[in-house]
Amino acid sequence: MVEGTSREHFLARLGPATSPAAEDLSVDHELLRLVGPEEDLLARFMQEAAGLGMQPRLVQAESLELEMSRLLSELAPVSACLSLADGQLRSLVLRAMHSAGCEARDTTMSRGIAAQYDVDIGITDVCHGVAETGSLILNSAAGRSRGAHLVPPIHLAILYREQILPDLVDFFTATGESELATAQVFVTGPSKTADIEGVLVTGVHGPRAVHILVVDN
Amino acid sequence: MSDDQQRHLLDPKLPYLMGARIDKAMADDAMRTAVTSTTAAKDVLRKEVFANSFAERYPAIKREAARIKAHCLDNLRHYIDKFAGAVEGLGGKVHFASDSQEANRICVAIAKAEGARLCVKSKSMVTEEAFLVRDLEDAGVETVETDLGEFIVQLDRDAPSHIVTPMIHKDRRAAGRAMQRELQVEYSEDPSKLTAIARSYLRDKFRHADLGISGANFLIAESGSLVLCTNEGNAGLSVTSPRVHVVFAGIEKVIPRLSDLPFFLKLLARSGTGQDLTVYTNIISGPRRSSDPDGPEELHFILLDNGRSKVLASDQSELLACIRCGACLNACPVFRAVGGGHAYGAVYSGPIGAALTPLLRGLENYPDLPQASSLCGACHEACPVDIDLPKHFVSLRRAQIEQQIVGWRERLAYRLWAKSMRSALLFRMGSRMGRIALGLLSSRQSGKAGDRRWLMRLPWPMKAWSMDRDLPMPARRSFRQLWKSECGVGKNG
Amino acid sequence: MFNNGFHPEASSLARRMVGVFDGFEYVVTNSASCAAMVREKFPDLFSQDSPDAEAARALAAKTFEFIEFLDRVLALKPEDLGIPWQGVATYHPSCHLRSLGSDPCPSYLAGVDGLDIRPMDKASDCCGFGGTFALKYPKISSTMVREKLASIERTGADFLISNDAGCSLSLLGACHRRGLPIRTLSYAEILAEGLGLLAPDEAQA
Ligand code: SF4
Repeated sequence: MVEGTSREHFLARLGPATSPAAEDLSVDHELLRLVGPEEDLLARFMQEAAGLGMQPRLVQAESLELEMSRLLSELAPVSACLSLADGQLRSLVLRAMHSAGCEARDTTMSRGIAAQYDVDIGITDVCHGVAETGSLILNSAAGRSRGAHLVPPIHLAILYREQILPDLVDFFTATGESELATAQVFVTGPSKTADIEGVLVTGVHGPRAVHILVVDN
Repeated sequence: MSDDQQRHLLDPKLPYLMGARIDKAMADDAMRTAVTSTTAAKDVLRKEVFANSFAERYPAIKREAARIKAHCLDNLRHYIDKFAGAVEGLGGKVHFASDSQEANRICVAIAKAEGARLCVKSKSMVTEEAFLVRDLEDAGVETVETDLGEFIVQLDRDAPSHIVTPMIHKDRRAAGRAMQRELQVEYSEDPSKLTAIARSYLRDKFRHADLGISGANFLIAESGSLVLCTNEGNAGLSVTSPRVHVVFAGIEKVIPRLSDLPFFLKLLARSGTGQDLTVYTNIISGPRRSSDPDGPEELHFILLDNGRSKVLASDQSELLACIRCGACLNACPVFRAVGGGHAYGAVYSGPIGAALTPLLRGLENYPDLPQASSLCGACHEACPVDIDLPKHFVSLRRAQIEQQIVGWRERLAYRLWAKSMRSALLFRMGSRMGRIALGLLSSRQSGKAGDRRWLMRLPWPMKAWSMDRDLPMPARRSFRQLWKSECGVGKNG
Repeated sequence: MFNNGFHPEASSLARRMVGVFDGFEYVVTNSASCAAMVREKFPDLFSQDSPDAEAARALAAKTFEFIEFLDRVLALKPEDLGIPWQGVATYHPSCHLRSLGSDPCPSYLAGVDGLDIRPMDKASDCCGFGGTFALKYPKISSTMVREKLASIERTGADFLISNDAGCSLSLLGACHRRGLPIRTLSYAEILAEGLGLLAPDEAQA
């Protein structure tokens, strides 16, 4: 294999070895805040997500299974892949799929990403919602998939009300202690492009529809 | 394949003079109109979203973002070293490339070692800079651009004309023709239909590719993470499906910590497309771990210098703070007038390209770029990291004079002008002579409706002025004469 | 000269100018680009703690664009001036105002009795002048001026107000070439005409 330039040689061009000022940088995150914790986060999230062209639906915890099977009957997918870390939630989703006549494929992701190209819907949990932007934050920790939200033509996400952060900065100022997942993604709307004459088209490479069941306990 | 012409457009014979491509743009109203309407709309949108979100806080945020970037650049060695260490800690590999040929060799070697046949690539300016696709294809690796705009540009064997919206110079008909010809599909002008055709064609490529290549919007030194911002989802697919992921990145992409990222995320999409956030923001930290069900098994970073360390050492290092949002291109009246990026004869176009290209590729090779600006400052105002681009044009012009890239006639004219202005007597003589000369010219021209107060044709060096404008004759009495007669005598007479 | 990179020449001129205006309390110019040059660039032409730099900073501190002077030094309120001036006009803010900070001109124009201001859609776009830029790249420059004129014409204004000699010269010349009956003038001229200090035709002569 071609090795390229050595690290020492490469770094030597970038200035002296010791940088006394390095790491000495404090920044003012509050400058960036657009939504504070005092706001109605649920309402803001619903509004932003809908404004982006996603389809958020508020459901009570006790009717999650029913609402999900209703939504699945509407969407009528033949097959699905699941990326859900919690066993209980997975059983709930499987029951909902069963009653909607939808076949779960590869629920444990054992076939990797290849299988995801053949299913109609990806069903995932998320780690956060962001009220400011209407974004969903997903990560690949705890056996979750990197592709389930992206490869199938429809994405269905399950978000719990208490997972909603006020502002994007809250995510970045809160992380740090816990180990970073291999892949994190902020999903802010369905896949879209305006490359051809500025005309907006959704569903370019990723899903054309993003449904969110927002669970209120 | 695509690259003979691409090479020609963005990697022209040097030294490169803009003249011919300016003429071409002047003759191509459709292209100029397309570029003008798209960029002007984006420029308006950008101003609106900033006014609606950060409002009067925006200048302070810009300064904070610029400060973070300046800190990174001041300590770039430290942060690159740290980044490389963090990547290795996660099981990734970092390669260092002094120039683009070396970077491409490393990438081709990785592809060969993996036996890669098909590569999916997301949009990346630094791979354009290195002409990576050409080298991969020469090595027998089919390489497909997956950003819709880049895909169409690639089908047309054309070159991108904007750093964010690469097919800004093309309309839907061009897109339809390219797909009809290259993919043997029915001709369409409907953007949704064309997008659907591209989607199904590219899905197949994503599914079977064994190599995925991306650029980087940001690299996080502290965690060894890669940040990618896209709207289409092509970057996510390019770097999730294939077994091997190679990242091409310029060294200036590194920022210290994950917690610095929201500054740039909140600025980037607003500045580039007027969105609060791009649809997908991926943060990737290392190759697939044993507990991950999917994702590439290998992750390589190729960090590229290619002239950047020279810029870093110069007094123009601020230019490396650029986050490639494209706002300065959208704001620039010259970019519009020349019909987009191709006129710049380089991968980076618009104001940032005009400042950076001469530094990366030789001042003597791009004599026009620092000059072709009215210094109106729209680019500086648009820049979310507060880069004073006009100041850099002036610095480059100064360097052109010092290196005698500017012709003797101009140098002589300025010396004489400076000399005459320094002396009150010479100045008065000069301006009186000017008046007389203009008076003579006007008496020889019969103006519109016999108007003696206007000049329609002027000799060098004012000839260019009279191409499209008339010149009013100076007032009969100068301000100095008026001041003297009406307000008494000034201190220096 | 500075903008073209001739810095030694520019600093020798700056030194002379600093000398010429030494002893005056204020320096007021009717051209935003001149004010911007003196204020933003002069001090940087000399090494930081030289006496020249000190003097250049002093000049910068007392130099104002005309309306700025009304606003910040004389503290005249736009509505108090209440000068009469009839006409339909549009306003072109000089690009150099970007570096001078906020632009008080629109509120002064709003305070003129009888003036009908029609904002143009491309108000902040450069007129294409840019000093020697217009001579070196006439095709780019004339495309820019054409875009600007189209925007001005869309307003239906008879007058174009600009407080920058460069922009005015360029736009006036371009209007004349196309036979557009649009007169350019600065706020100072409106003020002078409104106060009866200047006859309307004298300004054009
Ligand atoms: S120079 Fe500034 S405005 Fe231009 S692309 Fe870079 S960051 Fe954006």
